[in-house]
Amino acid sequence: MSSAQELQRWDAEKNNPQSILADIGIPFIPQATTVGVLADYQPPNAGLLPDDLHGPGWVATYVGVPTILVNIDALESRGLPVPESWANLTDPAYRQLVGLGRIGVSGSGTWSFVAMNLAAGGTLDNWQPGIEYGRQLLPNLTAAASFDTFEKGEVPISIRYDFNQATWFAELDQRGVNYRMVVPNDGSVFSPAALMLNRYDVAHADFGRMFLEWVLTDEAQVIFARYGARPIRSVAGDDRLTVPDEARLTWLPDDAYANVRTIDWRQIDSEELLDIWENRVVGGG
Amino acid sequence: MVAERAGTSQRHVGRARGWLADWGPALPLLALLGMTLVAPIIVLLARSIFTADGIGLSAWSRVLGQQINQRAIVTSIELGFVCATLSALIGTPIAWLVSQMLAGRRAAWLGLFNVSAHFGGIGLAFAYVASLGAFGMVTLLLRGLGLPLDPPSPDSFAALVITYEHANIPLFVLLTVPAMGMLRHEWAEAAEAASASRLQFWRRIGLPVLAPFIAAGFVLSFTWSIGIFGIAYALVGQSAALPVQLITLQIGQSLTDDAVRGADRAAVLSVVLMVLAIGALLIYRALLRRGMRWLAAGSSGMGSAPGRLRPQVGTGHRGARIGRTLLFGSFTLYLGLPIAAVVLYSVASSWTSAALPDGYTLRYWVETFASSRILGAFATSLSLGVWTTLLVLALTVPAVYWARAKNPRVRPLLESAAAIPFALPFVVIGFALLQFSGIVAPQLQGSYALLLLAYVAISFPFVYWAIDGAMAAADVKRLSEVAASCGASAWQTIVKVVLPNIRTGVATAAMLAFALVIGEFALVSVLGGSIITISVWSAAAINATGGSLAPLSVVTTVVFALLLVLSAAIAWVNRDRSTQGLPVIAQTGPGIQH
Repeated sequence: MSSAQELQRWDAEKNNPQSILADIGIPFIPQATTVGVLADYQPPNAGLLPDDLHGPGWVATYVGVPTILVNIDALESRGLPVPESWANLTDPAYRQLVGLGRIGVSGSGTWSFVAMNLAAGGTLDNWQPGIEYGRQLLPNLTAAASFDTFEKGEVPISIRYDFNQATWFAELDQRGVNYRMVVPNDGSVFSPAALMLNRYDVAHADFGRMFLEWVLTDEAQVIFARYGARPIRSVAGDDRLTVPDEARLTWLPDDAYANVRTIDWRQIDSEELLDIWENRVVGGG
Repeated sequence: MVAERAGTSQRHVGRARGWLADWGPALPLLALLGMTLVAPIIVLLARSIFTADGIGLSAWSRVLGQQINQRAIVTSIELGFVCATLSALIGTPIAWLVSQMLAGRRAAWLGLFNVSAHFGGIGLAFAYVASLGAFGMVTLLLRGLGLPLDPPSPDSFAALVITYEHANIPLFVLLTVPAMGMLRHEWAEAAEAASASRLQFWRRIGLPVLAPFIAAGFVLSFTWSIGIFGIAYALVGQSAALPVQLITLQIGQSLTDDAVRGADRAAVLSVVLMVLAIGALLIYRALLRRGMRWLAAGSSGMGSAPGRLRPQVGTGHRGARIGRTLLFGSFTLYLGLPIAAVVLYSVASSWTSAALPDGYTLRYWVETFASSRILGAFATSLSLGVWTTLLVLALTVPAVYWARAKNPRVRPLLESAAAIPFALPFVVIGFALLQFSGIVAPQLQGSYALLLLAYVAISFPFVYWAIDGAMAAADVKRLSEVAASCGASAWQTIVKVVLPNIRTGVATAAMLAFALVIGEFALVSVLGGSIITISVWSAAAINATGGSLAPLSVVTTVVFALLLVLSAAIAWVNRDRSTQGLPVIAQTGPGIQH
């Protein structure tokens, strides 16, 4: 379920809550706060993070980076080169070959659009370059790739968080698919995800609070690392946390992330990006 | 004075008792329909005016001012017109030819159309992907033949049309075949005696008589097409490019994607869709009234077997015969290939380049039936289907009996209530009910009970028409008069006299209600909360970024087989009657509005 759907569901189920905690892209935190689904609680260890990475009812947990996973065989069979940048993706030759989540709805789709806007020369106050880029990209977009559609080559270019992409590597290796994960050379962004606590689920509040505290411990942060996601504490520069090498096996070498920037996410509002994407990129007006 | 007052109150009590006796058995059903259909729609209308910003048309001007919503309205109307036009162009000749067939062959074709009309929703969307997707069976076949034809991408307008028509054309045929019986044998003979050519017969007599019915079928096809949610959601709903914007999709997506302003937008767009649907329904009624004037003069009713213009079919000249074979052959392929592709997908070990899989395996069947999540979804769907069927029958049979045998004033209320789920898209009904329950019973939101009540409400029309038709045929009014004169109580009359006489109608109604619930997606996605039915599971599976589509092919095959059995059973139960068509609107079945 996407970030937007997750928090909408909490609101819809306020009388009959079905989940205690959920992962959410951090640009959706303002919306979650407006709708009022977040519990008024911060774990005692929230101070391990800088102030902008925790708040009432949520803590940042790990960081993904929007990347481009490419099925090289499928592109070669069409005589197409591997895209190396966001800019490459607007080439009309990639028509309907690029899988992307919905902007303003899914966390990865939203963060990808942020990265695209910056790469196109925009800033967090100026979305115009991203809008123009988005209009050029539109004909090339299709629904986010599934493992099947990626493997078969139906959607040979998949834009998602690096740690999501990494979950496919073993199976792709096993099936002999020739693939590569590209960190766009015109830049990407560190994209924090957060764990949020449902204020309506009073029955499980204690468990929820404990879990919110646990995800910031060394133990939990290393588990995130093992799944290919950079722990929020190491990205935020906390040297009390050491991530052992065996937990970094699925990570790309650090120099591949040389163009990846940290931005002030508080300037991003998913609600605004949904509006921009629907009405100015797709709507064209 | 005191005595007088006592008299008045006694009169009140008496009047209340009399009223209860007049309306009693119909009350539970009417109350339910009032709470699940009528009141929610009133709330919905109010909701589009009372917004977060205050009272007024601000939500209207904001929503209608946004390009994406304008485009959704225009595209929905275009889609409706294209689908309705194709239904009429392809469906009319098929309906005519079917009506001229010998009884056995006609029944076989109508059976096939019945199955297709029932098979919709997420499964049908997946069938498009499995047959015409980039690696679909038909696509690979065309490529193998060296034809440079790339079928439309699954998230395109054309793909929606192709998928919608899969259920729409068969529905159109089912509805118009009986109207073909309007063309009386004698007219053709008279025209021939006056040395009119066949072309002249069709231009001057045939088409003018049939025109209102074809137009009515066109209008219904339009209404259904603009109201479909599940197929559109599965095919284009998750694409970042928002390649096709439709009113239903915008409503669904507003609800799931935008917790802040989504409800305002959904309310306005729901009212827009409602106005379109009601307008279409009024046109539909006017057209039928117009068409029926030929009936007033004639004696054979629409419900009777279609008359056959020529005593022998198949004697037409060669060109006509080839044309007919081509039409039916290609239409059968169109109906059958997507299903074949789904079934093959479920047993293909790998399928990358040839028209047939590279190898076969039963692995996915074993895995699917070992998955507790999928089995749980089946269990939920089946239990909803069974409970809906039991409840809707328990409420509808007494009410219809009362309307037919005791109090004719019940009837117009039932007719009007039946028109609501028939005309209004389920996504609108779902959203209206969501708003209404939020006001009167918030603790019911997301509950099984609320979803069940909603299913009872939307299956009501199909059950009502089947039961009402059966009661009319059995003449229950006279039966109950006879029973009463023999001293039977009302209860005895219903159980021992009425029910045995309408059992085919009850069986048909039960199967229609059950099939409707099994394939339904719009209501459960709006109202269902965390309830996972087969449709919900399938919609998640078709858009999942993780796994394989093979389990979805297994589930779709099972659902299709279930509908096949149900449709066959409906056809078998009704084997002695002719199909009922447009005027009574009966037995159109749940191909509608998945």
